[in-house]
This record gives sequence, C-alpha cells and structure tokens, in this order.
Amino acid sequence: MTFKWRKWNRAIHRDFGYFFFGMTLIYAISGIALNHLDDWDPKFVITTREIQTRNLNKDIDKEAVLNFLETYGEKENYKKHYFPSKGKYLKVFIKGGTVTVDLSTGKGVIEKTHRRPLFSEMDYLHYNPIKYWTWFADIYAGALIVLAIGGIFIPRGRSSLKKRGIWLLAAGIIIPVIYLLIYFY
Amino acid sequence: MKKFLLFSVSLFILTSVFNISLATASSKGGKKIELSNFNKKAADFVGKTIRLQGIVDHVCEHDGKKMFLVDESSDARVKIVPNENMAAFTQDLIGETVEVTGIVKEFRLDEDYLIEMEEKVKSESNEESEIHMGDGEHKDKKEEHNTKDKMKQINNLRQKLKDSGNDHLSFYSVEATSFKIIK
Repeated sequence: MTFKWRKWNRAIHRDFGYFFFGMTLIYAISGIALNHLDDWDPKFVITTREIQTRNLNKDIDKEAVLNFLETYGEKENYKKHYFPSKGKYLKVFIKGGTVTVDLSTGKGVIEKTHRRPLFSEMDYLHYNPIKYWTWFADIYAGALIVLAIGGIFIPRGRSSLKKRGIWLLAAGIIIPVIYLLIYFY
Repeated sequence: MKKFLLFSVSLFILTSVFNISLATASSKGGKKIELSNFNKKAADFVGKTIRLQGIVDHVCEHDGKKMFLVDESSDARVKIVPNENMAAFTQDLIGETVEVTGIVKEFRLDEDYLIEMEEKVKSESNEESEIHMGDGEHKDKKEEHNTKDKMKQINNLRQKLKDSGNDHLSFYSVEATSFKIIK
C-alpha cells in the first residue's frame, strides 16, 4: 500500500485553513493597522477637551472635586483623585479617562479614551498579552509554514508548481529580495 | 483522532485559563511595603517578594506590559511589569487601587549603558537625516527636538550618576506575580 501524500496534504491544508481562519484575520488586520501607527491609533479613540477652572486648590476634598466634575458632566464617572507633583496638579481618574488640572493656572484637560471596537481586541492579541497566547501564536506560525509549503503542491496540471506556479512563486520571492538588496545590504 | 484533538484543545484552553486565574486571584506572601517608602527600601528587597498597594496611574497603551502605581500621600511612582504567567494589564485598571504581589527587580545604569544610549540616539538621528536628505526635504523639526530631548535626558542621567559618587544608578521596579483590585 503506497502512502497517498497528496490526499493527506490536501486534508491538512483544508483543515488547517479552516482552523486558523480566525487567526489569519486577526494577524492580517491588526498587522495592517500596526503598519500605519503614525496615521492612527488602532486601539483607542482619544478625545481631549481643554477646560479653565476656578477655585481649585490642593486642599479641596472629594465633595469639591465632585462639584467641579458636575460642571463638565463627569460627576457620575468619578473614580479617585490625588495631587501629583507636590500638589501642583489635580489629577482625577474618571471612567474611561482622566482630568488633569494645573492648580497654579486653573487650566486643565479632560482626556477620554474609548476602545476602537474589534481593532482593540485584535491589537491586544497581536502584542502577545501572555505566554499561553504566544504558544498558540507559535503553533499558528508553524501551521502557516505547513500551509505555504503544502499549498504549492496541491494544484496539478497547467496550474501546478512545475508550470505556472514556479513563476508566481519566484516573483513572490524576488520582491522581498529586491527590497533587501536596496535597503538592507 | 477527533476525540483526541478535541481533548488536547480543551486541555490547552483549561490549563491556560487556570493559570491566568491563579495569577490574578492569589496574592499571598511577601512583606507589605508602603508605596511612598518603596524607593528607600527597594534595595533591601531585590529578588524578594513584596506586596505593594497603590492607585494605577498609567498603563502602557501599546502592549499593557507595564503600569505605574502612585499614592495620594507622596510623589512616589513605581513601575510594575507582569511576569510571564500574567496577562498584560488593561486600560480599565487606570484609577483603580490595586495590591500587587511581586518580586523587586533592580536595573543598574552605568556609564557604559549611557554611552550605548548616546550612540543609539546619534545613529538613529543620522539615519533619519539620510532618509530626509535623500528625499530632498529638510529634517523634521519634531525629530530634531526628540533627539535633543533624548540627549538632554542622557546628560541629566550622567550628572546624576556623577553626583551619586557610585559607578551606577539603581532603578527599581516590581515584576508582578499577581494583583487584586481593592474596592
């Protein structure tokens, strides 16, 4: 009985393709997002609002801080506050952001951070949040190698590696080589 | 074959989740140190487990692999990094009071390190110049400022090192093994 390697190759390619479909989308979409970090923040939408305050000092209590927040509609979002830099500033933690006030000038900033749906989650995973995820990501990377190598042997006839395939394969390798020759060496 | 695959995947997920919950839930052991005293006492606890309570002031936006704890009574600010069994910190923690259990780590900065930093900043600056010159454009002013700021920081550290009279400056942080939110 001969080993039917083509049959096995197709089966592995098919099942790996199904199983790692989600991982491929996660890494591809977050990869594009990370390529353009200078243009946008894929994880968060950050909004800032400049404010001018009065009658705030380093001796105010929680009640006064809540009253101050009420002016800007943030009273319900209060978490905690403290006075960093030896009482030079007031920093209030609110749900989804912070309020920072320079107590000497009264000028302040309300900064609110909202997660960008979907991209935020994908980006989180892309940065390897824990070693167990890294294990799974390594398995995925290994599977990609199997998919790439196995994939080139699946087509037969005119589209096989020996015919049309070799030219496309060579073109795909030549492009990174050209970049390396120009920019790396 | 199918059963084996299902069993392996389930086992993998279960062990991961179990380990993660262990890392965030348990916080026993280690001497409790006041955050305001951390920098004074840290040298005696390098490599040892401590407990530290403070407000989460900042969580790294990129990967959540570091956060800073502050307290209301002092200007102390302590860097916390998760150990390899812990998940990255999330932005939701900002403003929460947490008790972190972890091992005190020391980072020693000496003249060799400063020279390395200096070389790196210079080479980055040169590379940027080459790229911009190649495009026929002027070097971006923001980048020029960045380089100047970095060089200023290095010089400040060099001065601190000189003033300390030692051959190195010590910076302490905590590698967290677990943490819990204090309500």
